[in-house]
Amino acid sequence: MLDILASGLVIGSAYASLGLCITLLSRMGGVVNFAQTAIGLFGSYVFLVLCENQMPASLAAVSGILISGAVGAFSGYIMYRWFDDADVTTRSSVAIAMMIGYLSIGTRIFGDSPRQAPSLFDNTGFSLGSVNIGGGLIVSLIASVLLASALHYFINKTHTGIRLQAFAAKPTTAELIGIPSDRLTMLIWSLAGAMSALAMLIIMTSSARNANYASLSLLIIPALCAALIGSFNGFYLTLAGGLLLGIIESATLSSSLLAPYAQAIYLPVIVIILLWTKRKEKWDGQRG
Amino acid sequence: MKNVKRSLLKAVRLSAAIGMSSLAINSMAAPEPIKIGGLATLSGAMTLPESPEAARAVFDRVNTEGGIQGRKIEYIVQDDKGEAGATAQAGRELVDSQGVVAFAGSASLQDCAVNSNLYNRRGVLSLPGVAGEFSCYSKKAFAPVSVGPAGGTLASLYYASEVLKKDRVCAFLLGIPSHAAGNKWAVKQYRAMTDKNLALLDTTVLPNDDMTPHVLRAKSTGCDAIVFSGAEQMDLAWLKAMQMQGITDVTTIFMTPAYTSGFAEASKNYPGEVYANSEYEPFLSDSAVLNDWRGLMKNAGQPLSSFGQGGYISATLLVEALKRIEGPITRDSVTKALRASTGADALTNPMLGNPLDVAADVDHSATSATKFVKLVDGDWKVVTPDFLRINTK
Repeated sequence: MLDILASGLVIGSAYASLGLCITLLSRMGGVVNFAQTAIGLFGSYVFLVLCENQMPASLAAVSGILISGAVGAFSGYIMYRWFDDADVTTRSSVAIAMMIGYLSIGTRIFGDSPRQAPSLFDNTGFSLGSVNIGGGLIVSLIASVLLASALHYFINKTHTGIRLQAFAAKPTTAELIGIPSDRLTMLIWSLAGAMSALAMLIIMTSSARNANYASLSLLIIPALCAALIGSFNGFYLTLAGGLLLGIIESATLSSSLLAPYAQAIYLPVIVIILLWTKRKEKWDGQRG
Repeated sequence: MKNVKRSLLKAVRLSAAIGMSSLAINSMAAPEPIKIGGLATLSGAMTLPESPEAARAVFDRVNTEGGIQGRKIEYIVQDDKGEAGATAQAGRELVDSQGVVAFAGSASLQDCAVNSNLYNRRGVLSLPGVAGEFSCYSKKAFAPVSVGPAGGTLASLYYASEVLKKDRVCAFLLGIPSHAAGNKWAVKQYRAMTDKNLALLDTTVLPNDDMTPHVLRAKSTGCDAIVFSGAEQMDLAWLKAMQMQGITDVTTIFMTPAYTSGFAEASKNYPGEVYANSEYEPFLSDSAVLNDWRGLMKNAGQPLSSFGQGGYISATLLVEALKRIEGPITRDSVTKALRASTGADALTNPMLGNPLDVAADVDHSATSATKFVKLVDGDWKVVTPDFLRINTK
């Protein structure tokens, strides 16, 4: 049981940190950003390439995060420049197009030759049950919790956060009352890009995943599922959702009967969440 | 009047001259090329261009040396785009529109499943360089030169328990649907051959998994050796998980995808014992039997890889069969020559452990010959000088 919990946290912290980036952009940018992992991967692969070329890991990590921040800002610019007044569906469709574009470019640039990510947090960690929890995973867990708290505080308690929410809800109105929407859009996309690069970087250096560009980009599915648990709105719920998904996946994998369906668990989870969150609408509809 | 007559005579002479010269040109025209097809995944998420490129290098050399029976080889490769629809379309195009006499160097994950009936109806044979799925080994239209993941798994399980003498052998096999039949077959044959059971069988490993839960199962089972079948990057993730969970004292055996210089370099600091299976004469070794292939690939600007070996061997064996034909080279005569390549006449290549028997009733999965390499200081070293032969009959 302890093993399932521990290895579930290992997997779940990755889902949670990426889910938080999606929730951030959903609340502040008014878009479900399907391109989030693809943007983060750009920076994390730059990190790998720089490390292979003998750059110190910390400097390479900063460079990678900045690159993803720049790619995020560029995506934000596209979104602002051409899809400022579009509805969420159109913007999210644009995000899907971006995801496909970034994946094609990324695979073309970085290829599919094997890359071994250097360990950023050696000689740290502890054992929980028979599971070794590495230093990177502790950092990942702590980073996810800190990120959730910081984002929650920033959005709900600071003046800028409230202005950003106003902008996300009604971009044109926000612009009319003097909120600089172009810069804010780019800033928020850039921030989400940098955060997702950091998350991908921790995943690549600390977890035992297939470090292939295309397969890592599929982390968008559990990340979206985690954000859905938080209704694309709540940071703490997204964090809890990510960790819960990790634990469910780990429990499924530990049972030989259920293991073949481990990657299909998102579907029932999504259905249950949607049924639960929409239950009031159902009753309201009945009453109407 | 005289002038008119003279002009007419001139015109007649001229047209006769033109007629003669065009006849001469026709009789001097190059004979029809021998069309050979190749079907490979050249676009999409996972591409396999190495095998057809290596086959092309072999055919180019044959053409430079004058062709076969004075006829050049025209090698036509079509992209299956990783889709069943495109695979069927490409197969029909090559067989019916282009009229290929045989296939060589194919590397398609759907070809055997999709085009088997078409090839049977048209009487055309394929010697795939990379056999995409397990059914390739039992379908009559195909004679793969590669051993494939199922054969590699069986050889690795056998090597772990019978050669390395490991008691508790565990298998973690790729859980994608196209591998299911091969996995089942390999485990069944292992039990029949050794009369032993696996300590743990996990056929649920998927490309996107975090390997930690799988490694924890191995840890709690107390495996002595692990046979892991997956793509190269999955193998790296597996070693990382083993290292993170502190079970590097367990011997690991990977399939052919791990046998690359990139993998060896990336895992040079791994402290445990790691082996990989090689479907042919290990291509990173300095064996003399690799010289011709290596030189040809170098001249063609192609990277050295196991898939490239498959394409080269496939094309070389087909050329050997074409040279055995005494009459005109047609689809029928090529199929007949290939079918006659059986028993003592089976097609051989020094990089292949077993001769390729193309008789119609041969089950290509029944026998295999592979070698094993061991990871030593960031380099692969051959540890089985002779091929390890597996015979399930």
